[in-house]
Amino acid sequence: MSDGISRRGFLKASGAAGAVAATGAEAEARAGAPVLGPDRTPFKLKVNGREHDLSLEPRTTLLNALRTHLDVTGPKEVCDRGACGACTVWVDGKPVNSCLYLAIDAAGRDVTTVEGLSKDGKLDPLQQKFCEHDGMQCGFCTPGFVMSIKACLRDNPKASLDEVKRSCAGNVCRCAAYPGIFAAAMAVAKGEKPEPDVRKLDGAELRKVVEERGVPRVDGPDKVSGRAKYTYDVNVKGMLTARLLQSPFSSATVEGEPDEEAAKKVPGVKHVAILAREARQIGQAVAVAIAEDPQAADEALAALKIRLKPGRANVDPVKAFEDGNVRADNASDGVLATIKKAAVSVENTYVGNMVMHSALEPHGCVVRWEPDGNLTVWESAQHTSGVQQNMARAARLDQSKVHAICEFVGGGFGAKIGSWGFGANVLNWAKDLNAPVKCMMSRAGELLAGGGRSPNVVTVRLAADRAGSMVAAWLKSLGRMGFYWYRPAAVASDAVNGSVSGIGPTPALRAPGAPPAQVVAEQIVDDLAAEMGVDPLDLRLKNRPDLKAWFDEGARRIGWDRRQKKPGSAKGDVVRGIGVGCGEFAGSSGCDFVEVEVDRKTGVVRVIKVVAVFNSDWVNKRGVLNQIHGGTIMGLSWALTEERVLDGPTGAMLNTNFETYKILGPLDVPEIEVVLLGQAHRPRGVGEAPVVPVAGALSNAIFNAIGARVKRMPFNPRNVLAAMKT
Amino acid sequence: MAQAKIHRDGTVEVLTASQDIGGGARTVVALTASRLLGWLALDKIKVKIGDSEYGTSGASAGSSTTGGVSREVQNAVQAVLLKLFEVVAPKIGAAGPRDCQVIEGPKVSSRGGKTIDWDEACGMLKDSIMSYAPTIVEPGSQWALVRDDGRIEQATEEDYKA
Repeated sequence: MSDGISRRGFLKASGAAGAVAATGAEAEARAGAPVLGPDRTPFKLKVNGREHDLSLEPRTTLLNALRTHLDVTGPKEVCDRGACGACTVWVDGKPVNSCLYLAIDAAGRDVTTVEGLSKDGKLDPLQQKFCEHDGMQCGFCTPGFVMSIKACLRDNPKASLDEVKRSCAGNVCRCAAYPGIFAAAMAVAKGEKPEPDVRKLDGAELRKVVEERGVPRVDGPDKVSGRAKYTYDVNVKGMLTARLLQSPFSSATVEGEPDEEAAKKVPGVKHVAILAREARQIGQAVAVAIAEDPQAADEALAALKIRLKPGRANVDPVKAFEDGNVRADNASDGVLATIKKAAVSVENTYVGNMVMHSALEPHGCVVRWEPDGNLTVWESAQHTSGVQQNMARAARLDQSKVHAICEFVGGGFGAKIGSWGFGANVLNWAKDLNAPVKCMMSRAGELLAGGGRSPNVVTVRLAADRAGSMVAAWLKSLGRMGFYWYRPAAVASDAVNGSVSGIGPTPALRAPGAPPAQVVAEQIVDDLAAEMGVDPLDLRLKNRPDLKAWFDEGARRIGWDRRQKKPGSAKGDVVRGIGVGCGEFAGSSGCDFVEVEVDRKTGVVRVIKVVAVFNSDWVNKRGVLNQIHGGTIMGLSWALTEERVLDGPTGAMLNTNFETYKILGPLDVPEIEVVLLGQAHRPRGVGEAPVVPVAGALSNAIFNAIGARVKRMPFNPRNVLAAMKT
Repeated sequence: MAQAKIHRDGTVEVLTASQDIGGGARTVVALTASRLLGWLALDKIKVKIGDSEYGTSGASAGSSTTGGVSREVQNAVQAVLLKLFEVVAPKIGAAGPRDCQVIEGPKVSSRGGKTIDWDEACGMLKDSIMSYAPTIVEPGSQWALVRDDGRIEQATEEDYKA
């Protein structure tokens, strides 16, 4: 084994993987096989039928070779470890995660990327169906899904839905456009002809389509073909790549002297710097390396051998809730007295989980100084003008001299509303190095510092009269929480001043504030119904008689009568339950009915079906349905599997990638039936409301199934089993 | 802010700095313009977004993008239509631009005059025409309107009643 191999490893700076690869090389060397690298090795790579001469270090992944060296950017880098499928390409027709495949291993083979599926600008039938069924939202995961499913349908043209789901089980869509993706695949499997091209219709014909079913999104063809260029895909001439080393701890100090000399010696490295000796937030950038190639930058960061010493952590919301000072609501005494006197009351304490925005395209930007002193900035952001303004301020330039581009954005969910705070640094590096610089956070970096929703703990009391009219609700929580929707006569909310620290940014997350408050309300309403021995839907109707039409429709479609009259009374290990929840945001509102199956032995919850009755108008009905599907699934994902796990003593995030921070994937997605009540030709936002009602409905369905309230989110096996023990 | 352009060949461009994060903003822009133009075919409408060269944008936040860009596009399209009508009105026997309208077809019709196809109307232009409408930041806020005479000013209660 040469020194070079042991120094660099094969795969980035990943210790374990590097060691395994080195051992393999050692064995090969003993067997007399040639040892390649660590220096550049010439080889030919055939991509989409065209052969390229490359000279790359053998450790270069196929994904890096395609994206950085050949500017083939359809395959996306998201998790960089085979946990998301966004980088899926075919090697000799077989789908592989190109982030886990060495480019040199693909020499002499046929590599096909999403760009190779369309012929002469004409989309493949599957790509066409993705457009027709709106099997995408932001589009960042779309090339990966197309490649996974296309391989399945090519080999098995009449694949079943189950086979389709299994073919893309390794792909993740954060926007959760799964229903459209499955519909597209099944349309191909069933041999459905392409729809007439709606783009050519006009007049009454087009109006009719818009009123009845909506149109395919106009940028669909760009997103399914890899033509859509996101910030992460920008490769401008002479561009350098900056990579950040971010603290996994909620606070930390750098111990000793990082080896900057060793880092600067890595071939291709242009700049290395320690950015902070002390990190006060999880995910704070401690060091940067800038190089011609991302893997050289990563190698330089590893060569720094930075040792971080964690400080004392304060990241436990339950402790903060118990120890904090209470700032009582002026109305609390009166409300508590009313609850005491009421015919019936219940109290419960629920613990909410911290969930992360996790847009598949991370935060980041590309900065280029123009010869005339103007600035061009590409940024993955939810606000083009915000990027322009903030970068102009940071560069001390007039706004007119900054050109901001956010042409395609790989998801945001609230975390990219402002301009990325780190952009100002990138600006300076680009100036100092006299070259364009791209700086995107890694997946781990994104989960550390890309944004999440603060965890919360809530104690709630709810009281009603004999007839079930809610008379008062009282809450105590970290920060002040409201009690919406069911409108008790009196509400008081005490705020606990305690807080966790160093957990990183908590920007607005889709329907900010609403899902955690609504799940509390829906759960305590069901607890009250159980206490009174009444049907939880009747109790809701008693307090919101205006919603009778929604409730009737949803109850009929889910089969409300099939639910367990006495929660938890079903026999057997695997039991079913049905629950309901409501919610609203920004003018759109609705209720969800959820059916689940719970395995009482393992604690696994499987969502069978969701009926979403939603009140929203539309410009494009197809887009609205997609938003309701996606929002509902994201809400389920937050409630069922997602949880940032922080180590108590050090505040280190323990699950910094998608194999441990679990987002619902193709196999987890239930059937979703949407009843859309509203009118055409009326613009109304519906991106947020659908995430609100579903967690409460889910919690209540689990309660109906097992007869126990899971008081800690998410409703994963650990918490479900714990709830059944008490 | 939105800009709308009408070209002599009957195609239309709508530009806004506002961005799409997956909600389908491009499609909202295209359909809004299409409806105001008598359901002009979508393949005749070019939408460009997410670039500060096209003006200023509000943030895609608070479920506001659909409402915001719809109104911006509406204002920009209505303003550019007035410019078209100024050219077309005398040629189809209308008393003035405000006696013209686009109807489903798409066609341009006039009170007391002729009705012609959209393409024919656009063919009467000497050159491409364009208009701007300012950014509408919050849904429900007092947004600006492009008046019939091209002035841009704050909307009033009366405008909402229409």
